[in-house]
Amino acid sequence: MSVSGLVITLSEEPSARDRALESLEAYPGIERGQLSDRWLPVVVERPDDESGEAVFREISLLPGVEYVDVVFVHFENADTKQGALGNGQTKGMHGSPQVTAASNR
Amino acid sequence: MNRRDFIKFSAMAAATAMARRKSGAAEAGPGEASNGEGNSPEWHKAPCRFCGTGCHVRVGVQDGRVVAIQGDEKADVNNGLLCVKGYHVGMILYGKDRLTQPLLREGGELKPVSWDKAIDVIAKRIMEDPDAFGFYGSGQWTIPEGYVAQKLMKAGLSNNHIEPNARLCMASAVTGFVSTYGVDEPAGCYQDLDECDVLIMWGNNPAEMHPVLFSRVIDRRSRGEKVRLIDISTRRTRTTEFCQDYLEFRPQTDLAIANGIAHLLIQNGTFDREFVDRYCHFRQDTEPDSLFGKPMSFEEYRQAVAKYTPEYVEELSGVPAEKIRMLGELFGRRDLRITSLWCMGMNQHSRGTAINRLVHGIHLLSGHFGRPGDAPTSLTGQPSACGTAREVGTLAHALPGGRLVAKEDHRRQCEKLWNVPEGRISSKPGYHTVKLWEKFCTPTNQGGDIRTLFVQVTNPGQSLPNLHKHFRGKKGLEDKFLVVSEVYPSASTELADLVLPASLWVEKNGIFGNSERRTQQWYKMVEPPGDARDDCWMTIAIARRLYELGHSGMKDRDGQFIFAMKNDEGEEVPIWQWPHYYDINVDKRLYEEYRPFTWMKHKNVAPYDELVKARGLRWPVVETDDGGWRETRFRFSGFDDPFVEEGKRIQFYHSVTKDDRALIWFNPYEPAAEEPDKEFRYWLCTGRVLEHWHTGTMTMRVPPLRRSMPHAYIEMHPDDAAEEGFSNGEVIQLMTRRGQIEAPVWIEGRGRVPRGSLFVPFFDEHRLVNLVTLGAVCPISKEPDYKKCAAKVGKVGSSTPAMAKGPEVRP
Amino acid sequence: MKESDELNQYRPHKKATYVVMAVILTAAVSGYFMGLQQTGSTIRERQSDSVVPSQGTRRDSSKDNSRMIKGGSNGPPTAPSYSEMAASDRGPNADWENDLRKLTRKKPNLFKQVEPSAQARQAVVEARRKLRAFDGAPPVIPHPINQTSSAACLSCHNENTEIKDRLAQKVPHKTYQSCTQCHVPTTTDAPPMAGDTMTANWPTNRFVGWTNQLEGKQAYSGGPPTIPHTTLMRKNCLSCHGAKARLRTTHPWRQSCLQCHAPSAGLDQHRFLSEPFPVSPKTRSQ
Ligand code: SF4
Repeated sequence: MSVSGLVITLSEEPSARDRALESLEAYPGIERGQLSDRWLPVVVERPDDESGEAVFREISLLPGVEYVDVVFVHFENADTKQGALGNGQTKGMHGSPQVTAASNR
Repeated sequence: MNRRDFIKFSAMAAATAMARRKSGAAEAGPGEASNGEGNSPEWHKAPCRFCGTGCHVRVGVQDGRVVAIQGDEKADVNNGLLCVKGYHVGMILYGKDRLTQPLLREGGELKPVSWDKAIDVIAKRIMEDPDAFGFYGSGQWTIPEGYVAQKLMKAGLSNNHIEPNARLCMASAVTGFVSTYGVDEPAGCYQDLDECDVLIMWGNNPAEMHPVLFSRVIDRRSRGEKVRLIDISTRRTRTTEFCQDYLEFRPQTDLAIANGIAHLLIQNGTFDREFVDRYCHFRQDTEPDSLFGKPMSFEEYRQAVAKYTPEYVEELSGVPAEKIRMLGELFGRRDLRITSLWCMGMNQHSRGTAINRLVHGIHLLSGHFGRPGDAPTSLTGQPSACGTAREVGTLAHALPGGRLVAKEDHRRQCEKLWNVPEGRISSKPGYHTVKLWEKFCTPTNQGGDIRTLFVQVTNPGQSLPNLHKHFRGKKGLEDKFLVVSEVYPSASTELADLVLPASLWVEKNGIFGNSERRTQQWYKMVEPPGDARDDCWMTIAIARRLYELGHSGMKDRDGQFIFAMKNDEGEEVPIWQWPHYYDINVDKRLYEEYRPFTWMKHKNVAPYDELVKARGLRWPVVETDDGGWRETRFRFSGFDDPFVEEGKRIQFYHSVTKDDRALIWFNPYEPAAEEPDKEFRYWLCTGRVLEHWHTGTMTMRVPPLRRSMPHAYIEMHPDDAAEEGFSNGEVIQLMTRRGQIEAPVWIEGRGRVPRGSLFVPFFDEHRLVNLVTLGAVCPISKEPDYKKCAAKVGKVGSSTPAMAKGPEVRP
Repeated sequence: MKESDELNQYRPHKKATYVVMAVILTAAVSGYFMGLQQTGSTIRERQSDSVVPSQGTRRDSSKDNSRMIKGGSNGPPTAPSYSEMAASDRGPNADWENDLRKLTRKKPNLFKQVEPSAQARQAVVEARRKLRAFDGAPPVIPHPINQTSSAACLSCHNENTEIKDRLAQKVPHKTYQSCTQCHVPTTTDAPPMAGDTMTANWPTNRFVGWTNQLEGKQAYSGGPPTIPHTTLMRKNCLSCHGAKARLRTTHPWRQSCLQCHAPSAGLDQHRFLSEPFPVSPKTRSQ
């Protein structure tokens, strides 16, 4: 399982922003937070790390989306679950993001 | 919270915090004394889009979008309070399926076309046969929208086939006022609700339909004031809960109850002899019925009502005789202030004019008139039924400012004000609403002489009575052409040949007029979506295309385009080109052009610039000596109305009899147009619910409202349901002689009907109750009766297959 | 046998009868109240039933109790049909609703140190937002209601009332009489329709509601924060920030909130009044 907290920077253009919000609705497993001006916090849950990253890439390519910032990542693979990492790994705590990657435009 | 949820929660918290920091919302630097206004929306004023109460809202706008709504504390109407519809009014702009481009039907399918093409198609249809064109608007038209439509039709096309949907809701109130006082609209205002000792609601459920006004009354109780509420109704509603008295009457017998009160006032000698002697005459109907009837003496009147003894009224209505006596005694007391409230219960009545007259009559007879708190008050259901339909007179028989097409001097005045050649306005009234649609749905070779119909700001496909006959009949008639300007797909766009996407509410400038004669202005605040445009612009663009096609009616006496407008520099602005429409304030210019029309009947509306500064002003608005403007709360009362002559207590200065007197009418009780019988054994009543406004086109797209009331239902008495073998929630069939629908039964729900009665709300486009309602109209007002017809019920599948099934609506 | 004889026969046992009756009575009464205690936890499960007294129940039960025992005195009583359910008598517990008022209300400890974590705070705020279309919108009602009466609302909402783990929040504005005018249930109380796809398929709405800032601004660190939300209809601060409330202040014993915490002119109507109606230059043109 992988859970990531992203902040999506939407276009300044209201109509483009609407389009982006609309296409985001089409994604399963994305939970939208409260839009703050043009920054939208979302949580993405995916069965594994790879597909989590794929979603991240897809979102950044959506029209009306300018940037995607990753502020929180948690992954828990089937094989690591019982392993040394025990309860999975969590990087970045709320309020103090340690992993902040600006995507390409 | 399980672990997975906790992780997701933390992820969301982190992302939210980050998003907020980025937006600058969470920046709280030391030494910064500002109050966080960075995040605050910009607030504007506007009247609520929905009902005739006319509450003022504050509209919060941020980044070009409406993001919040508040009640306006400074507004006299609502003092900061709204109802649940008003609080969510901002959401009506953002339903996902807003119409954003013109759509033309080709090969049975609606396909996108350019605005240019769309306007062209309409103009050519009109050019082909100008007399076969009809314009169907509404009480939700802003005043300028109604005014341009009115001018295009009557001064441009010399065609009087223009009607508003207000014919379906307010027409009987208008004929009631006109035949009683000689001039339309209530004399009192909402202040009556603050001052009355007794409030009588006639077939009215303001707790759901005019909630803010209802709160205005009942909240007085929290302040320790005493007010007695009397509910005269055919079913228990939320309003009943707050009333001391509930008088349940057999449908249609409100006529008998009103006459019973009049009889008691005379028999007990408690009528106001002085008021009647000084200010009233008596009237009765002619054969056939007419608006002004014929005179009768007091003695004749006394004899006419004498039949309506409390016992006889009880026999007819089922209301106990002692309750009728109680009403008679209340009206007989001069120390009490009594206000009557009504809306659709009295108006949508096959004898709507009669019951309106009778209620005015008992107020006049008992002298409960003209003092704050003493008033017969009719409410409107639409935000500008008064402002646009009634004052601008967008009706087949009317001209602006209370004028009539049948009167030569009225036509001449309008031609002069419009600067069009004498004789331009046709003297023949057009078709009233039901007739208009009947003609449109009748094949041309069988006398259906309306071929093109333009619908704006209303949804006739859902709200007309007996839809099979008055709307769906259009299907398959090749040479009929329906144009619908709408904001969302609706039961009307389903049959439309051309659909025009319209701007909505604060996406355009506008002016409304509410139930208490209050004219309210607002400015455009956000852009309409996609290619949606103002209804006012559509009408002007069509007129311009007709002008270009050479229609002579589009020119005034000087050869100018009838809607020509200049900017402050004196240059003509091509407002018919959309990019130039907002170069000047078209609304203001149209409104100022319309204002002089209101002077004849002393309905002087305020100047535009005054409206900008105010939360609405109640006409007549007159200029004071110091250059200010003063509104009027109580019309015809010497202490407040500037047009009443010095020293007079009451003056009905537009009296039918030209002697400053109002008319007290006698109208007998008559049975309803269709009553239950052996086969169709239930009364069927239709109406609204709190959450939805009219046909639900807007409110069904607002999730909190839809979730609270997602579909129509059939209200039924538990004993009837038990007898029929229905359980609560079971979907059943409801049938009348006109069709059938299916909906779930709701027993002991929001409202409670007596045995033998059913109630179905009309907001649900998937369960169109108007497929089964009756098209019978009041002979004078031509308003249909939606409140009474005969119905039967049965298990699903029990009806004959010949009857049409409910519609599948989504296009 | 005459009636007096019948009584006489029992006379020797009179005392014993009293004792037995007292025992039964005690058991019945305590059982009744124990039943009441469970009410709080079961409230959310009672989806189909109204939490508050129904007008119909009261009206009809006083008139007619016969519905309950359809089978008559000979046969066994049969359950009422669904169509009769709302109107039928609930038996000895018919008045249980009224006893919500009598639930013991624990006096909150004003001086207790409560320091909720930022997460807990955030959770409360999120929960609040779920019930509002935008900040300042009237919250929807997350439980079934009586469709015809508002009177019952205040039996819980006139004070912050804890019902097990739920908090019925005190009305933060002056009490208007018609609660349902502004507050509507999240889901209808109307009977659900089986297989109703038409209603479910209504298009969504793209309205994005305004949200207030989570925290007010401080002029200096440690200074009293300003009020970060509008105060219209939220004049009673303690209903959300009082001792029992979920967004508890650190100092609930202080009563005069506005003395230190300033409302925002931009959010409330003050600026609006002095400069009547700000309009964008485009639409202002004459
Ligand atoms: S719907 Fe009517 S009562 Fe409700 S807020 Fe709007 S105008 Fe006021």
